[in-house]
Amino acid sequence: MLKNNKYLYLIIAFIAFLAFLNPILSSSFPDGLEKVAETKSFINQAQSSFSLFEDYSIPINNDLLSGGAAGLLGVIVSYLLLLKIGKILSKN
Amino acid sequence: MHIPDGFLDLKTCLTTYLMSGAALSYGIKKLKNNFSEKNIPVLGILGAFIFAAQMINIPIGFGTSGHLMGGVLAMLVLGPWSASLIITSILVIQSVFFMDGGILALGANVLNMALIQVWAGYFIYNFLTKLNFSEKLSIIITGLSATVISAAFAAFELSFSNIVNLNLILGAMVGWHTLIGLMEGVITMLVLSYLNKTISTQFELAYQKGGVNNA
Repeated sequence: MLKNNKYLYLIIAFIAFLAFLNPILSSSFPDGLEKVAETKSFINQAQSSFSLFEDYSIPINNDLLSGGAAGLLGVIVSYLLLLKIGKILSKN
Repeated sequence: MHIPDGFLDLKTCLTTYLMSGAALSYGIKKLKNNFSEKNIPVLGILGAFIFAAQMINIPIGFGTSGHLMGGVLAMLVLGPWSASLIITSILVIQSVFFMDGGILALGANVLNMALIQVWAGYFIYNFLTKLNFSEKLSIIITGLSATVISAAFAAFELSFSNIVNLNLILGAMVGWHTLIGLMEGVITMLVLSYLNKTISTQFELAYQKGGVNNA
């Protein structure tokens, strides 16, 4: 896929770095939509929906580990789901 | 730009689910005849990267942040329908696992980020290619404008749900997402420059065929 496996390892390491350190790296400022919802006063209409974990945290007694584990889990599930989709699509 | 539950009314949720579902099932049919096995690892790694990048909110000034949406990046690497599937998969996982984007609002989030951003990017990039713009500038302009168009759609859906008047939010959504879109364009350009240097000669990036074709 890449010219040299070294590049692939570098990309994987970078993805793991972003995913695991997301609690430190990510800004806590509201995003564009949240900002608009705040200034136009409809942010409090937001409701919780069903989800397995709440807001990128897996129940571990440490904020960094909890957010980091959620990030890694999300990345791994995305990778596996897309490999499966790719296999289904190329099976003809 | 993930819409949580509670912002959209039932008719908007249903309409956007139907539109997204119809578009994606057409796309899957189309991909079934075109998808090459050698794209599978790229599909997986790119999805993992975009998922990770979407978790990192970057400050854009004025106490506001934004993150990469990634639809334009995926479209330029693998083509628009593969990109739509990558972003849809990520949105489903974000919603079901982490409550990032509501379950009822998932149809709208897929429409805005997996379809509108990707396809707006597709048409804009191909248009800019015809005008012979420099490749890097084309990528930045595409990321920026596709993100703004996607944000405008979110504004339409919010006003269609009668939660807020369109006049009140369209300008604000477009304004913030011009800054976020600029970041989208620059990150997309940087990632593509890296891939250009490192990807094997056997794999052709979708945008390097004199424009992206529609598979």
